[in-house]
Amino acid sequence: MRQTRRRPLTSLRLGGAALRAVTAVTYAVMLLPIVFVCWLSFFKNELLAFPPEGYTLRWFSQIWAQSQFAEGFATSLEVGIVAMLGGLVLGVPASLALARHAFRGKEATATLLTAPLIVPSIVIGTALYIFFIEVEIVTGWPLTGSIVGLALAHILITIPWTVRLITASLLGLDPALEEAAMNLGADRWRTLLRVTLPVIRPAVVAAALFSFVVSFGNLEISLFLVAPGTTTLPIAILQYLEWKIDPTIAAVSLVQIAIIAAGMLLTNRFVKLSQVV
Amino acid sequence: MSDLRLEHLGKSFGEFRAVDDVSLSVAEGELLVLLGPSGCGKTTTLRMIAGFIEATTGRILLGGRDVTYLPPYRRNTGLVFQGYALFPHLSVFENVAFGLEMRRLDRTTIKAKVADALRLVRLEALGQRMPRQLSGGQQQRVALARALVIAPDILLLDEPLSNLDAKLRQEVRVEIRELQKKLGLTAVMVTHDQEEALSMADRLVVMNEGRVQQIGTQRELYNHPQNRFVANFIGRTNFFEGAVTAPGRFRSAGGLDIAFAAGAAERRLLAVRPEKIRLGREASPNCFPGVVERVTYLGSQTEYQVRLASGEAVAIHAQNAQNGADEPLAPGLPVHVAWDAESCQLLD
Repeated sequence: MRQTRRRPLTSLRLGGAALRAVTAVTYAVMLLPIVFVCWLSFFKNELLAFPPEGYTLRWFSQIWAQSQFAEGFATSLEVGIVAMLGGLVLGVPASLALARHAFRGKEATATLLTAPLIVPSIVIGTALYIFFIEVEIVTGWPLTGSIVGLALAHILITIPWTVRLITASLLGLDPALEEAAMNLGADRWRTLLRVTLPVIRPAVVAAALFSFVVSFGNLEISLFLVAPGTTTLPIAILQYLEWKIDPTIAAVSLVQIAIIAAGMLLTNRFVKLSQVV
Repeated sequence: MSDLRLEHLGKSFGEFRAVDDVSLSVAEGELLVLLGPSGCGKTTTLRMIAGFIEATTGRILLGGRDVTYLPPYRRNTGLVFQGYALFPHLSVFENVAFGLEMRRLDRTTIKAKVADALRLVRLEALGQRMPRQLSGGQQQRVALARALVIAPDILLLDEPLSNLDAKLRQEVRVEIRELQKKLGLTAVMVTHDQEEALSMADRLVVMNEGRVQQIGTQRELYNHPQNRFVANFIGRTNFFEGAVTAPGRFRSAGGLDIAFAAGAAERRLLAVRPEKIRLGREASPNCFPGVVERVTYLGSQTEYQVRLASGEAVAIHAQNAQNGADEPLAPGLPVHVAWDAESCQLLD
């Protein structure tokens, strides 16, 4: 009796250990580069070498001496904010339509809106580049090298996140709340403003923050669309790397990682990201 | 407060008729209960009155005004939702004030009216709480206050007690009923709970499969059900299939010759309530031999199932003695059962 009981328990324990080991390795593989980048940014020697000769904060002050990083940061910030707002303006109504109404082609619309997640960024970048050129030829609007074109592209990649986060929240919203508002005399517009949006506010805030993070870290799409002379932070990092490898790049990356991590942590306070990503 | 009239109201979802030709009226100050099993169309009817579902056919008249095609926010009905549907981001005060703000009343009036409404449901001290900080019973009262504060033409209650535990349900039932009477509210309540319906209603509407089965007071429905569904849904009953053979005589399928006092000759179903049947041999015209099959102790009553010599089974509810000293009959015991001709109900 005892024997037969012990065996599955042992294999269960073994399975648990194996799971923990695999988890540890996975986390190590994911986190190690980040850990190294952070570590490197404090190395004293200009040429990367192990072990470091010592530690310094010099590279962080270097960042601001290099104008392309400051400019890139400013551009990324600007584009990120525009993409965030644009994503909300388009994403909130789209989510309302998807969550609240039955219409022809609803499934197709939902898939279309999340498609930028599936298509590789580099493909989106190329496609937009060609498309913008075509538009420019026809209309004369200089989209290709403009901040407007860049912001439009970034709005595109924030939409899947906005739609997913807000639709999920709307589907979890008790429809009786909206009915109660209408029963009390609120028309559809006032129901939306006074009840629906306030109740799903955490998801809207999360969508905004996440959109910003997605835009702020994007390299592949921006590469095709920046104007000569302007640059985003990820592009500045890439360009710097083409000429030089010193810990400045690690320091810049650390700043970028810190901003994105802060955004993610803040987002997570409003909506558990593990539920939607 | 206004009266309500539904005229041939119907709602179809594709081929499915959720509500089929429902006509009824609710007088001013009356509480009408729509009662039926789930899927009978009672909730759909209520939601049509509130305006969340558009009727396919018929008319809804509220205080003589045709509201059939008005959106919910132009109807002036006060609905208490099953799950209360309190706005989670607003305080108790703001929840109750919501409807008044939509009516663009000024601040002072709103404050006074909300205070009155909260006092009415004995929650005047909890105005600043958030809904999640309240118990189920308190949330229910906020929902009631929120529906009443707008002075609706009619109060609509959608299974208002189903989320409360049994003890609280009893209390709130009495409370809602007293409030409704005191304020003279015209009200329509939906429930599937027979006891709730019987204890609160002025009149009841029994519904099944989208159709009204019968409308009447508790007594009318219990003592004079019109069909098998109503007889079975309101209380329990024993059925005998068969036919009327002579005036006042009904012959059951098993061959019982039953005397009845009143009923139309073309009816093919006879019902007798379990508590109207007595155990023991007597000179009554309806006295038949049988054998006790099953005995169930129910506290105040004992339920016997007796298999009659005709092959038909009847359930009998016998009142237990005050001192609890009575000995129940044992299964297998031969007995006689008897009931009065006046206790027979003939149904469609």
